[in-house]
Amino acid sequence: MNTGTYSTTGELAKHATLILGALIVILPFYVMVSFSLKSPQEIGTHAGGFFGSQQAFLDQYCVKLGNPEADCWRNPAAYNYGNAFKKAPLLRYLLNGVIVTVSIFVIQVLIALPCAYALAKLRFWGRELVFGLVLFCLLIPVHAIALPLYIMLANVGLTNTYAALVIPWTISVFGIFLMRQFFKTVPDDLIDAARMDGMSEFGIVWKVMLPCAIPALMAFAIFSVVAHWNDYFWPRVVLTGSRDLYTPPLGLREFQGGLDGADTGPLMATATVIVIPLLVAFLLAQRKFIEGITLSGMK
Amino acid sequence: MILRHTRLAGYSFVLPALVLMFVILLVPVLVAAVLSFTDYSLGNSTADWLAWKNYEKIFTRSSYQKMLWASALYVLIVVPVSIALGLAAALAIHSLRFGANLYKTIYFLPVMAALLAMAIVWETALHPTIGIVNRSLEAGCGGWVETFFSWGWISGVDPEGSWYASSCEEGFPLWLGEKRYALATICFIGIWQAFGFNMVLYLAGLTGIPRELIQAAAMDGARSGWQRFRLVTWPMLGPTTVFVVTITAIRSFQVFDTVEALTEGGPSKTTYVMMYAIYEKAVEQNLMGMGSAITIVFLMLVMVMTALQRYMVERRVHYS
Amino acid sequence: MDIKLERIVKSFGSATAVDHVDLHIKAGEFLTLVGPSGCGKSTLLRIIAGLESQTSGSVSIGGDTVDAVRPSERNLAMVFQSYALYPHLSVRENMTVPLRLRDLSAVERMPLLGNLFPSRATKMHAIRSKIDQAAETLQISHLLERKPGELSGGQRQRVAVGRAMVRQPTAFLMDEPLSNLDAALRVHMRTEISGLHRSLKTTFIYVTHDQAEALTMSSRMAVMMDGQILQVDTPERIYRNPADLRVAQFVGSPRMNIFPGEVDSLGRIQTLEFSLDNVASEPVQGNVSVGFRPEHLRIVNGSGGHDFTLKVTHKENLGADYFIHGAVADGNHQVIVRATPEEVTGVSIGDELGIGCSKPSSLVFGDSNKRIDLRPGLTQ
Repeated sequence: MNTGTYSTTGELAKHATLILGALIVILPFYVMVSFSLKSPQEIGTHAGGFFGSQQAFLDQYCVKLGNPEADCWRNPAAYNYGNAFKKAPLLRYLLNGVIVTVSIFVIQVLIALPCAYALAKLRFWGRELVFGLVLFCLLIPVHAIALPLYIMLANVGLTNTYAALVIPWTISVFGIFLMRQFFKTVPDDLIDAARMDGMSEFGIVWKVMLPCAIPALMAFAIFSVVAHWNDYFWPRVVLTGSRDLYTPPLGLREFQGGLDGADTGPLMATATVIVIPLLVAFLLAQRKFIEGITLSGMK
Repeated sequence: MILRHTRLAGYSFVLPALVLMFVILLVPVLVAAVLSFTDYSLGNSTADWLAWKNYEKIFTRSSYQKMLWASALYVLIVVPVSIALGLAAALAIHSLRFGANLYKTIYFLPVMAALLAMAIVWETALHPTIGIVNRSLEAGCGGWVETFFSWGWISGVDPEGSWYASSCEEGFPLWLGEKRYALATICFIGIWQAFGFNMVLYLAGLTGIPRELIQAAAMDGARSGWQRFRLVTWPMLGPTTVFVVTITAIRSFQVFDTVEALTEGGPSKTTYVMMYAIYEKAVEQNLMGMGSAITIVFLMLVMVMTALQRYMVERRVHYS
Repeated sequence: MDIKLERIVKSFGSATAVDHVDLHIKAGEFLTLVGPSGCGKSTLLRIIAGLESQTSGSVSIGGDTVDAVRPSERNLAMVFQSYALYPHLSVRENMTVPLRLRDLSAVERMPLLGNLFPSRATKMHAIRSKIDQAAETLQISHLLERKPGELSGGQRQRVAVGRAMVRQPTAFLMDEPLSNLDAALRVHMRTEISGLHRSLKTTFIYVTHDQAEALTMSSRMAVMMDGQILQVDTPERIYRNPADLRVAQFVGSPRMNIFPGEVDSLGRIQTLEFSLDNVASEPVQGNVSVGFRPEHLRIVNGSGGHDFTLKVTHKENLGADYFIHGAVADGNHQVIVRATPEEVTGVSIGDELGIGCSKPSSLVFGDSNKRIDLRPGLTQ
């Protein structure tokens, strides 16, 4: 917007507004981390600032169980995070999250890459038709058809399995579209050279196209992993029974539902554990992440 | 023959994707379309043909009308506000001399965080007793903050009747529990989460505008920043805006996490958005026919929006 | 081994890229396929390579038909215009790929399992020494561990040649390999590639749109236009004795001067304001084109003895030579005349010059651009 001249007052006003906005944006993160470090009393009375006093407090529940009072003094942060892992199988949830997001990404790539290569570089009858279908399928958000998918999975007895969590996401038409656009920019000569060298078409996909597409693939990986790590709707629909398969958001929700409201500290600790990995990764590789998350803007 | 060889490779590479596209994306649409005319439930081997009854209900029964209304209201609030804020933030950040990256990072944080987790955190922050929001508001009562926000210093305004003053008297609202505030609060969280995404897209759009163009506008006599914005920046951001509007609209239409975790559609269906309705009808109450009908209506709306966007973009850009 | 093309046709939909081409490439020769862009020369090369399948006709290498043989099994190596080096692999790895795929069996290529086979180690050792040897020949030994992105254009070019060389192919196919280089390097690489051909004594099939490259490098050149080969011969004969007007105009820089002419019933040929000494040896009559290369025209001082006059529009100084551009007096024809610096002293733009033609050197083309042979006229 500027034309090279700056006014200091304008700049200051902008900073003031942006800082105010930043405070509102950060507010819940502040609450989350701060509460996860505080004792129940401190949460109730808003004492202790951001980090809490970190003074040991008496665990009433522990006393109720008949333990001697001396054994029931707890450090707030340790208590909150300890309970996050003890009261609910949080580790299990995290593991599930990793299993599901990684499987989804790997299968998406296995399916999308050869298809994208064929659509970008191979000549065969019906290619434009397939690409047209890809463009059409881009119109269908998977969440919107969750219900019929659920019915279909239920009818083949696949609900409450890892498969149910992964299957609907195995086909990423967006991934196909994106990689096709990228592959179009790879020179034909390179593919012909590989053919002359004796590579099969299958070999070309994984040994020539894939290494060339690493930047695009990285962005897509971030796009995919963030979306599925954070996804709540689909696991909510398709997991109705055992908690063993719960993904992190579902586990957190379950934890919240089972609380009487007194255990805000452990709840916030759980939320922190779930949210922090992606935030840290984001802070470490901001440019890549922003690129990946806004990928859908590349269309 | 070489051609045949690559052609076969082509078919075998496309086949898995093609099969999955049919089974996972196209067949379900058909399944939903068929079931939407029935009263199918899971576990029943048969279902009765209801023809258009499910659809009739959607458009005549008051609970479904409330659903359509809640979804529409949510989209109509979240889309313009989050886009306006995103654009404003992008413009401000783009023109900063320093600190731009820091703001960008902070504003993008909500996009990365699991919405469900943050919804639960917001609930804590908005909690009537332990929540930081109401507590801070209460702390302002009786002091200069109340005096200021009661607007008594503006002539003609009765400070006693102001929202802040009366809330100080009667207590600040239960943000998620009161009919008046629930949808607005859900919208607020939606905006909080979405505007950073829009900001980043607008920032990308802004860097794409050549500096010379803005300088040329200045030379042509567009003196004020606003004039230059109207003349160059806004039109140049056209494609970005088209995209941002559709993607935000489609995402807002799919709002679910916050509603499920915080209000479960209530109070009195003020936050009964479509995705939640599908979930409640189909998954919780096993009314698959009704759920399918809502799914189809939902799908229509989403596809119309995307097609509209595609049409508007295609007039400028072509895939090849 | 000889490479033979028989009645090769390639059409894309309704367009014909290669139109009934017959070509016999002898073992060890440097054959250039030259022609303007879009003439089908690259398509023809790709058909030989097996990267494109012909619509009809057949290709044979060493007497065996290879139409159904995949590119990698034809034992040909190709150097591409864009070099086509794998960007993620080092130079050494780039050169290893074709040998690994050819010499190692599928199990031997497997990441860890392959190491269990003792044969792998000996094969890899052989491959390594082949690459070192090729790198030495091409003087790229110091670049072997680098990635293509870290190399200059000329270095990439060498690596691309090296990758082709290590396979010891029946023939090298080169598709405009020099056109991505800057002018000075391009001239230098011409001599290097010729040198390589001399030392390897392998067949080179070289595609270019640059007639100068074709003239300087090849043992024979095939001039292609509109999908057809118009003439195949040594560079000298193509230049002196073009069989087709299009060949005559394409080869040689600056272009040959062409004047409209007419043959009378006795075979005498009249052009501009003069007639040729020779007459047509065939009974042709009517309109013809008469061509003179710039070096076959000369400035004639004085009032008499010239064949036509020319108004100078431009003097092009090439140092050793001058090219005088001008318009023939009738104003319809542009002419280029080669002259020595001495001849052009005192000549300035706008001057009228008398031009003489070396009539025995003239080339006459008749209907459908075909060359018309001449014989001494009776008047002589």
